Amino acid sequence: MLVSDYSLIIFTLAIQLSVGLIILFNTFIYWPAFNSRGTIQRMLKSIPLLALAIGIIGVLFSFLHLGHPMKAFKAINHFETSWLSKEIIFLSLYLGFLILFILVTWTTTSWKRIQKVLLDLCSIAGIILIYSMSKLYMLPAQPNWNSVFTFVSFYGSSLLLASPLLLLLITKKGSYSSQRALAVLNAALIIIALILLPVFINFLQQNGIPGQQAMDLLLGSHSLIFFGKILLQIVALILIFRSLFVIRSEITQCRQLTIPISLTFASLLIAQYFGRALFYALALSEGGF
Amino acid sequence: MTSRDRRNFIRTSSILGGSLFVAPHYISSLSALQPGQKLADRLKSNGWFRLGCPSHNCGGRCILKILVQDGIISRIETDDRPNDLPEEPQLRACLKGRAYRRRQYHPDRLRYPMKRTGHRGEGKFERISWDEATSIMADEIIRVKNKYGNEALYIPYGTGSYSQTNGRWPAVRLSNLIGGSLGFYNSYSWACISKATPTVYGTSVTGNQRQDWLNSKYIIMWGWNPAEMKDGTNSDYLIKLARKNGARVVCIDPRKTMSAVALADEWIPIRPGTDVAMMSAMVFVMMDEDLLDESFISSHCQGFRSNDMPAGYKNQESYADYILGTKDSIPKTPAWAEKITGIPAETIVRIAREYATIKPAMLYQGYGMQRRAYGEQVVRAGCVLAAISGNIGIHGGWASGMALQAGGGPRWSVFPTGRNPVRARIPSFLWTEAVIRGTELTDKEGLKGTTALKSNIKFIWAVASNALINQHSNINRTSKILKDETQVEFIAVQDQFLTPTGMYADLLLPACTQLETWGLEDGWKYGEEVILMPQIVEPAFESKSDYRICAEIAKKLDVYESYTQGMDEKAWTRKLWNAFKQSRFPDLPDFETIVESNAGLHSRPVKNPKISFEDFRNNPAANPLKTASGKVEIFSTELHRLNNPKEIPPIPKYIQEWESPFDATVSRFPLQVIGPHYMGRVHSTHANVDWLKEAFPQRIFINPIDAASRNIKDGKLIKAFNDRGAVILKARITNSIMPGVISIPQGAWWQADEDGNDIGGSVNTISSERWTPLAFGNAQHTIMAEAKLYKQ
Amino acid sequence: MTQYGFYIDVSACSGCKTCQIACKDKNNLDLGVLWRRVYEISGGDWLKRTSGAWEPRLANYYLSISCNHCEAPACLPACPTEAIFKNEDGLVLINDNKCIGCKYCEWACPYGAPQFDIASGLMTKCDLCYDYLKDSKLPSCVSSCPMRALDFGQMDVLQEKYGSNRSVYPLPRTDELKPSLVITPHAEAKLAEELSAKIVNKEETENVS
Repeated sequence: MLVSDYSLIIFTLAIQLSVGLIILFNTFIYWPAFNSRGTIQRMLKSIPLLALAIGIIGVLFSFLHLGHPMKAFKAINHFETSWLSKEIIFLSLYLGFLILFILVTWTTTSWKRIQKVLLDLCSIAGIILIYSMSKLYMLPAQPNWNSVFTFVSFYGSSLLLASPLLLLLITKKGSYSSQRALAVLNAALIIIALILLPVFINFLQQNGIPGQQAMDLLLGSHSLIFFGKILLQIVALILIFRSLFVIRSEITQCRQLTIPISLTFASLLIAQYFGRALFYALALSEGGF
Repeated sequence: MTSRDRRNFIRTSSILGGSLFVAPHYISSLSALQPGQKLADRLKSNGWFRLGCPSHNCGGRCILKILVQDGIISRIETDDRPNDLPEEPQLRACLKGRAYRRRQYHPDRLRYPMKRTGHRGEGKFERISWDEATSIMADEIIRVKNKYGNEALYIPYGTGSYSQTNGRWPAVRLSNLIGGSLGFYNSYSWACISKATPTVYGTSVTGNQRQDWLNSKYIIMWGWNPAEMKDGTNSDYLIKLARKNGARVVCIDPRKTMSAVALADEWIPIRPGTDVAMMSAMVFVMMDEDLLDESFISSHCQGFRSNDMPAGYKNQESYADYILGTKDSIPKTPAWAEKITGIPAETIVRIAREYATIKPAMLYQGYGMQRRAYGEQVVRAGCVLAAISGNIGIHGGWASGMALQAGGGPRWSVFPTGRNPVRARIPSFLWTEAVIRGTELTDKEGLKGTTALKSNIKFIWAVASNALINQHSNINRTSKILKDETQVEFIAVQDQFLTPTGMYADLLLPACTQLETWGLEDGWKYGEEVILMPQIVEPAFESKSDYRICAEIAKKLDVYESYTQGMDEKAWTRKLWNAFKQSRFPDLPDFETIVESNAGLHSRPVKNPKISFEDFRNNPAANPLKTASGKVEIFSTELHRLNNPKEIPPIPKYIQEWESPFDATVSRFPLQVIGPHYMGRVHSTHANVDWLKEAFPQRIFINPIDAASRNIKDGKLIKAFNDRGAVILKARITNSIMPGVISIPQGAWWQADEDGNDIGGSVNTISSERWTPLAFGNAQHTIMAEAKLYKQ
Repeated sequence: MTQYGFYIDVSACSGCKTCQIACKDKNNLDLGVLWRRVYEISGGDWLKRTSGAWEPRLANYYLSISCNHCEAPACLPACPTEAIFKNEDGLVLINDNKCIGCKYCEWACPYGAPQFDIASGLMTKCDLCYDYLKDSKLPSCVSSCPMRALDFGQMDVLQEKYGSNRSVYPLPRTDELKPSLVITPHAEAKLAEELSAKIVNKEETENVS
């Protein structure tokens, strides 16, 4: 399971992480209060580039899922009804705006309005992209996917992964307030994820035969991965709390932060990989066919 | 044998031969393999051919329509004759016939003669020429013959290739020309039923023609599973039609079989080996409630009550005495039977009433329950039930027992094998005894034709037989016996694949499939047809037909002319076709006509099905049975004379099996194990076909209750074991088997791991070599074992 | 538009899988690709009496399913490339030139019909033996059935012959997707639903791509 679905796991997580980075990045630009030492400006060139790289990695992995990657362009044909078509369109738009933004940013020295517009368009495309991505899985034939939890999971993963990564990137240059905001956001997201878990379990228990089979899976053959995921999230939570304790003044020691935040990010990345693998394993169709 | 050896062997053979896998690749590998030969020369034929499905001793005889393109089989369809009426239904092939391409073009086909290089059983072989192979055969036959006499030669039971010109018959013909070989009688299928049925009826022809089932109003499928084991092509379909015609169908079986699901209105799980207890209790109810056919009993039967007992036996226990407990103080009440059978008493009462009152009724016995300890009893008890309820000799009734059909059944063999100069015969199941202590065998162990054998078995030529290892009981014991080269000095195995039996060969002779040679068959048990099996493709690699192999050996033994009589496989098939024409089917068209027509078969409709015992029923005095009394022998004086009342009572009795859930060893081995036929196999044939393994993977089937108490989860590896061995397979947890019973479908290929556990999953790894008392038959389904999770 | 479909007599199906193999042979399907599959439905429990006797309350039957060529197929709108289409005979077909092998139709179909074929990299499924249909020959599975439990034809003809029921437990969403099936349910189908019976031979029916 961890191996067989790897292409889709990496694709979805990478795209969500990339979009999360851009959204957080853009948020910081909107709220300069978080930007007291001009952190963002200094990272104007590197963060979008990183988001693009992660996005492209995701796209490459998505090709591995296809039987005929060379014909992938045909996937936009059924825009009216297929959420997969929509996903591909918005993925293209997202990456397109991102690339334009990067081109403009790398060729000019001063901040221009066009950059703002492009970044906003890119963020909006990203948000719709994740919406499409979620809707894609919300199929009546897949009762364990066909719920609001898919939205929660996909948008959640986006921010859950992007917040520690961005925090890691600004340990050196970041402002106290921005670091603290990201750490708090990350801690809050982990807590929400942990709180939502029993709610999701309850949903599965009420979800007919596919839900029961999902429970058997989570507590049976896949229990190691299931509990491993929870454990990793708790580890991440402890690490991020510890970091919050460190980020208590402007004179944060970056070395003190780099290691725990890296570990936080790594723990969450693995946890989300496990979680996404479980997500695909829950493709237990209605009626069991 | 280790799995590594097997892999090495297979790899070696793959390198030698290239892959034989899918049709398109086959063409290129074939032409690459035979550089001197033009592909076009090999191509006999193109187009669709109608012919008999290769026959491997399943109960079906079906029609395939095969598309041959460029000498390769590219598609397989089935009988499509336009009218599909009950009197002459289409002979639609089952999944095994439809998957035949995967067997025909299997990469593991034996390609060349090979001789053993390692220790016996190790599975190491090297390629040799046909000339060397046939010389080895001839030399060994002569050596053993000269040293030990012809009784030391043995061609064992084997049904892997079963059309008239194939399999054992050609080898037996050769053997009979060179002084003969030790014979055998009975079979692994029917030992008890073929012996016990005549003790009641004087004959094994106790069945009506199947179309008569449509006249029945009540059908008990007792351990009978026509959907899975194919007791005649269309038997399952005809039960469906009988049910449509208003028959209520009840299935009594430890498993909720495919037949129970598709054909029955009710399924009653019964503890294996306790059928006679239920039958006895049914008789109790019928007596108690006055539901018997008293007039039939008094005029047609012997030994039901004291007054029906034969002269001189009046004081012996009659059947009524037994049922009422007059002598043993145990009335065979439904409450008594409930504890033994696991069936609620009121169910037994109800079934007894239904069977006795819904007329006409059929009690159809399956064969699995007679392959058990004291398997003779259940056959006799079933026949007695049919008789005393008055269901014999009437339309819609059924006399139970062996049930060969009225009006003439199939001719099991028409190939002229000649007379065996060796008169000595052993029961087919006792061949290992004849290996280790043949000269000590007596008639107490079923030896016939002589008072003592002059030699143990020293030479075995297994043709189309996997019964040396896989299909014979207690594989670990057999393996040990065969590995000892001082016992059997030479083993030749002639087959299409390297079976577990083949692993023990000193010489491997590659036989071609039935699609690669000529043959024919008539309907199996039922069925009014002769089916032609023309050669439609060339033998793969260096394989030859069984007949051709024997002819080559005959040449080395200087009996070629008398063996072949100048005939090839096609000529023999013509001769046998005419043999059918001269016997069962006088209206058969000429051989050339049938070949030309591409019809594949000649069949005749059954519009007025024949009934067994009709004359006897109408006038027993004028048409007595061939029993000693001329009557239905509920009490058998013949059995009484054997003077072994505990094991061979003269009236049918419930006897607790020698391995049983009611004996002391139950604390160690609490589970009963049954080895039913499996849909994807015919015994061990087809066991290696990938499409069939995909459809029906080999599993241990276990009830959720037994699984839970052992912490067994669905799909996990478990080990089923007893003192004889251990089988390791994945568990399939299923409600369709009764608690206390597990099923390991018979026929999967034995494969020992480093610890000697069987990871191939042959049930015979844990079955017992003990034989039944009267028939000397195999009791392979009487097994107790335990199962637990397997951790490597 | 005509609409072809299958008749399935679930009450007479023995689960022998001859249809599955006939299909594999006709269409040269690799291991793991099962255009027609036979599901084993099983549910219930065993009660033990003090005497040791058993009283089972069980529901068991087999359900042979290929592609149901639904009137409103779930796979069709999901396909991102418009490779899946419904032709003039009501057949749901896949255009190989358009299919990119994304497997999305497999998730969208509640009946397990579309199956990925590793060798070709394409989604594949039952085409009702379209070549046979043109020659007025029955689909391979239908003519194979030893129990004569399958039939084939135009839906209105089948409905006239066998009634209009197109569902049996646990086939989902038959009202919505309108599978082109006429079904005679097994006598234990109602009980199966009461007992929440499940498909228990998943390992034998799964597309292992």
